[in-house]
Amino acid sequence: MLKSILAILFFVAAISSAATKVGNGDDGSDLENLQPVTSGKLLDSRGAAVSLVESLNVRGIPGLGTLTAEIQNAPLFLSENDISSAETGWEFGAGKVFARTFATPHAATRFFPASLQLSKAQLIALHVHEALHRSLPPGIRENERIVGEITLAITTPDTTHDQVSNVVQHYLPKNKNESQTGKGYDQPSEVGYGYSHFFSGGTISNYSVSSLHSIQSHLYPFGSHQVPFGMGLNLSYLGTSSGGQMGPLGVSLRFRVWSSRGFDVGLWAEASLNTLSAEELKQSPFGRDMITAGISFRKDLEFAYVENRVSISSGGKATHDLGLIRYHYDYGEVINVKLKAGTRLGPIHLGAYAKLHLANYLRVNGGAFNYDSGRFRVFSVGPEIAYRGESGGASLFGRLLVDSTKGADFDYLGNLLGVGVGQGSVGVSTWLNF
Amino acid sequence: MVKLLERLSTGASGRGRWRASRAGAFVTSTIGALVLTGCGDFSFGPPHTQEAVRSLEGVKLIHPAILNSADPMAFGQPTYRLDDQTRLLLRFESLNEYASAIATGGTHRIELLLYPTGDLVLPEGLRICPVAKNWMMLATWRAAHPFGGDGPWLAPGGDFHPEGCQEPVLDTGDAPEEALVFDLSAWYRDYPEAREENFGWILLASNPYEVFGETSSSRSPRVRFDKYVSL
Repeated sequence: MLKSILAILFFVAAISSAATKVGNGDDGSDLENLQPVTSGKLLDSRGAAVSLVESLNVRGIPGLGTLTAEIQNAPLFLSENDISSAETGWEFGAGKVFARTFATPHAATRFFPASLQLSKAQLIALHVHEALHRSLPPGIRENERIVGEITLAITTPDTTHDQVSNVVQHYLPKNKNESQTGKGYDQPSEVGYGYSHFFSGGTISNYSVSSLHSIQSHLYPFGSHQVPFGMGLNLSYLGTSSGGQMGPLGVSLRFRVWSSRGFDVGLWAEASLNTLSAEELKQSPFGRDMITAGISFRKDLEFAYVENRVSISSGGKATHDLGLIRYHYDYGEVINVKLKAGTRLGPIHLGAYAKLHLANYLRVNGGAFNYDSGRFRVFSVGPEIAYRGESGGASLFGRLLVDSTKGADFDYLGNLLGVGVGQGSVGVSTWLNF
Repeated sequence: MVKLLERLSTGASGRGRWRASRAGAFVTSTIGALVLTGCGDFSFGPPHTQEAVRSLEGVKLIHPAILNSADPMAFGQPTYRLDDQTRLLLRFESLNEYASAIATGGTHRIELLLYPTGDLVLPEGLRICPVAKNWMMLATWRAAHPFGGDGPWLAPGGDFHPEGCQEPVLDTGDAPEEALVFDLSAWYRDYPEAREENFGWILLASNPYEVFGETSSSRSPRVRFDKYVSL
């Protein structure tokens, strides 16, 4: 009895705080004479409904994240008296109402005696239907047609996760306030630190380059939730055989687009500026400026991800003094293509990538020496293990040169900040999203 | 021409005769110059040459234990100590700039001068040989340069043509710069002229021997040649 009074008071409070339109046309006139359901077919069918939605893994479907909880945890009440209604639909039959709920999260489901005549399958559908009224996003949860379509998709025999997902995605509203697991970017900005150790790096320089530390900050203050636009900075520090020194400075413009097909599309242009002094410049063939522009496409599936990335890096020149001879390095343009794929286990990503650099040439001239590589390629592969949480993450990665023409390695690309040097590298990075 | 002279001489007596003599000299010299230039390559003897000495820019020490291609001890040194495992790559990097001015043939020579740090005596087992592969200042015992698959030497220690090796002679020259002299005339004919190749030379020593390096002001390795000069 006390529970009934409390339930009634709860519903009254819910009504007073809810939107003007209450649930599925419910005006609350049936709030009298409610008894909590503690046993019987209504509870049994709820358990079956929970099993059904869990078997379909609806938690992983955008828009249905709370459906299982709404079915499982919503209080159930049984009215003593039937209510007549001329309406038709899932909650109605033979002029009577089977069940009702308020279209707000955590509201109770109120059953009427007419529902006890329904079969188990019908009761399962009723539990799902009422829970959908409470769990779907505002704007569609009160639309009987949409809720009915989704109920049908879930309760149809032999339905699958993908079939349910397709129906739900078709009806989900397309607006800026959708969650990151759906569309748009909640936290596109990022700050982080990265470290790479190179193998046999920079042997064409006066000193070998063994490592690179970088601090990066990519901020997206402009644009919208779905199309953020911003800029990035990347400071680097080189570890060399002669000690440490400042590495290239990266300044970038970045543009992200969340496509209607669920792809994360990124556009960027980055200028890598050498920070070496005039004296330091002479001791390295890497002291050049370059610009890289590219586009990336990423698709996150439930248990996998795929990313394609294409970019082009500009050519440039550098000089390198060795003894009494000044050598001139002329780097040609480079097209970079990267394919990455892997599996997702929640926030853990396990994957690998393959990357191809197709360079126009590397020319070296000085004194009586001249060298022209012509067009050449550098092909590398590597693993990537990452933890990607909502607010940040970390990753371990490697890069191994597996094929190249004319004995080329990463030194030939003259891109310290982008691909590093030598025969490959291993590294770690960590970041915060906001 | 005669009538011109006559007209010039029939003017006022003094002035007319003065004009005639000037005109005559002018005409005579003009005719003479035309005749002489019409005879082809006119010269009054062999072209003038002048001895030129230039320091080598390309000097690189290689040794099996020097693995760093840019090891600062392998170049830019005041002296280099050689032995059977330590060799010196040498090249006159600017040779191409002087190619058209270098006099060859006859008594003209092109020579390499090296200055020992010790007494000037003819060392046994010291010779230079023409290098057979292009190299740069990042050369090591194993590779001529770090670029491309053809960077490594075919044989560690440098690729050279043994048949072109030269042993030195002593050149007391103008004291106090006493030097070992290697005659490069045949090398110049066979490589820069015939093949348009300038890969320089490699200095080999069977016994320990020390020479001055490229940073020495007056005893750096250098080439000496006769250069055509205009009067």
